[in-house]
Amino acid sequence: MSRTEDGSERSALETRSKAAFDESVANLDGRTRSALNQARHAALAELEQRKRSPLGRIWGPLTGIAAAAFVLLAMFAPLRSMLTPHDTATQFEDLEIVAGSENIEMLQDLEFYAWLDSADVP
Amino acid sequence: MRWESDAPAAIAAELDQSRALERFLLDVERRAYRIARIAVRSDDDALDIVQDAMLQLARRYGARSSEEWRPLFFRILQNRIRDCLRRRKVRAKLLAWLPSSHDDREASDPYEHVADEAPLPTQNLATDQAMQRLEVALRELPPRQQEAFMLRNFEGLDVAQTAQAMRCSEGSVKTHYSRAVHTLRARLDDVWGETA
Repeated sequence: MSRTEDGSERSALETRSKAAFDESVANLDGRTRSALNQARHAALAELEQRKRSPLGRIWGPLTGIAAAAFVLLAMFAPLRSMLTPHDTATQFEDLEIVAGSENIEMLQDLEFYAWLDSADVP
Repeated sequence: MRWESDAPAAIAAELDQSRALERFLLDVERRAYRIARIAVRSDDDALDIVQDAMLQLARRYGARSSEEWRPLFFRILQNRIRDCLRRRKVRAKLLAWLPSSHDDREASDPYEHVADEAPLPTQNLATDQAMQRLEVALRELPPRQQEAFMLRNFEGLDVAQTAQAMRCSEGSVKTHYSRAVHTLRARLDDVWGETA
């Protein structure tokens, strides 16, 4: 008989079966050890991620908004700088043409103007 | 400001927690794998179970005191083992209903008659054979007795920790364990008994 950590007596079966179990643990193959190693690292990475997540919850959306704003600026800032004063004036003229009352009538006869455009009229 | 002075201490505490968890997992992972392997008889399933138990421990209880980890980890492990065995039973029942399985209509555990995938590369053949006989005897025990024996004897949990891991009273643990030892002694007396 031997004794356990909590002081209770151990039978021969308990002692010898524990020794055989420990030996089987010590003789685990390399593939299994490697897989257990990977599993441990995955669990530790999970813990790290959980620690970062409270801050990530705040900064995540803000970073997303900032990135979207940056992309919009990057797309439209060069266009704005490329526009000349003439382009700006043309834009206003286009707006006037479209908004003019006589041109509303023109829009109602779009089919006629499309035919006029395609017809070979001298 | 208070948070500035506390920041290094908080970072150090987090690092300590990570290292403590790493040490804990390193300490238990191989025994946990062998316990799961004995219960489910499949290398891959046992690895999945241990990996899942590790992840769950880190995810749910990583911030808890390291003294609480051992019973919690083995509780998760036992739950995963039970889930795995339950899934197999359900799968076996479903397969029994399929037309192709006319010859095998019994809804039994498909792993019941399957030999172990690979023999353990132990150096001592006698110990290896004795261990294989122990594994067979353990599988024939009722699940709760098997759990109690492996947690108490193999993992070395005390009665209170085993009760926490098995979610039952300490009295139940003592009863399951005592019955398990009694049955195993009767079956393995020629290998590991007092008379061997």
